[in-house]
Amino acid sequence: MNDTPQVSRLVRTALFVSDLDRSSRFYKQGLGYREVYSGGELTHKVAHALLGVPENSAIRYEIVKADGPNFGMIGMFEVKPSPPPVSRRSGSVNVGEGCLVLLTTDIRAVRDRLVDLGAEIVCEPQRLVVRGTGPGSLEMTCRDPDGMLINLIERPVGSF
Amino acid sequence: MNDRPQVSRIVRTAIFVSDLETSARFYREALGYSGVYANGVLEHKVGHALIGVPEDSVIRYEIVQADELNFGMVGLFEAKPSPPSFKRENRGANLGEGCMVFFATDIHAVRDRIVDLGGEIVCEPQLLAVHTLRQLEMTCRDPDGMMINIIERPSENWNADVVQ
Repeated sequence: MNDTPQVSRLVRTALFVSDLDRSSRFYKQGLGYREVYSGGELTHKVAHALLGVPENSAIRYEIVKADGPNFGMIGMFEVKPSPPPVSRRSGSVNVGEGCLVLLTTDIRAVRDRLVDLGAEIVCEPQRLVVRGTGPGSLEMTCRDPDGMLINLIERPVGSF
Repeated sequence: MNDRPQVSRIVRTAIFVSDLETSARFYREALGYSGVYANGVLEHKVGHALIGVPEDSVIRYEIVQADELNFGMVGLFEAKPSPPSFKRENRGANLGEGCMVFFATDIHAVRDRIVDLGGEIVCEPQLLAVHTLRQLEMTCRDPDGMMINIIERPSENWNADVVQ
C-alpha cells in the first residue's frame, strides 16, 4: 500500500466483439497488428464477474499488438451467449463512448483495407488543422464491424 | 504512399464526455494522469466532421497522460450541445463497447479514488487466474459510463510478456 498509487499509461483497450475471428482478421489485416500478445479462453469465474456476464458464458479472447513495447494494444473479447449490443447513433459520436486513435503512414491505403474488411466510414480522410496555421494532418474516422469508433491520423514514416 | 502502411500502437483512447471538468478531474486525480499533452477548443470544421457533430457545436478537449511518453494517453472530448448518450443494457460488458485497461501498483487505493470521484464499480478487486498468472483485477465505469479495467502489477513488470 502507498499514498500515491502509480497507474500505467494505457496498456490496451479491450473491445467486446460479436465474432472473434472476424475482429481478429479486421485488426490483423486492416491495421497490421500481427503479433498476438495473448489469446485463448477465459474459464476462471472471476473473469465472468469482471465482465459482468453470466458464469456459464463462454469467453474467448485475443490481444494483438503493433511492434514494440506491450502498451497501446487491442484486446478482443467474444462472449457467448452475446451480451446485448450498445445502442448508439452511428453517424456521430455518442457521450460515453470511446474511440481508438492511431497513427499511420498511409491513411488512404489503411482506409481501403478497413472498408474491405467491413468498416463503416464516419468521415473520409480530410485535413484537420489544430491550433495555428500549420498544414495540419490528414485524419479520418470509421467504425469497426461491431461499431467501435477508430480515428486514423496520417504522419510521416519515422515520426511515431 | 507505400504498399505496407505502418500503423502505430494506440496513441490514445478518446472518450466523449458530458462534462470536461468532471472527466479531467476523474482521470487526473483517480488515475494520476496529471500531464496534459494538449487541450483547447477544436475550431476547424473538419474536427466537427470527424466526430459527426453539427458545425456550430463547441468542442473542448483535453488529452492527459501518465508520463512523458506520447502513447497510451486518454483524450477527453466535450461537444456542446451534447451528442446522444451511449445506451447500455448491461452493467457489465455490452457488445460493441470498449474497456480501457491499466496497470496499478495499488489497486485498492486506486479503487477508492475512483469511487470518490464518481466511478461506478462493476466488479470489486478479485484474484483472476489467466494461464499461469494470478493477479488482482477490478472493473468500473467512469462518470460517463466508459468501462475501465485495473490490474494490480508491480511497475517493474508493466512491460513484461504475458506468461502463456
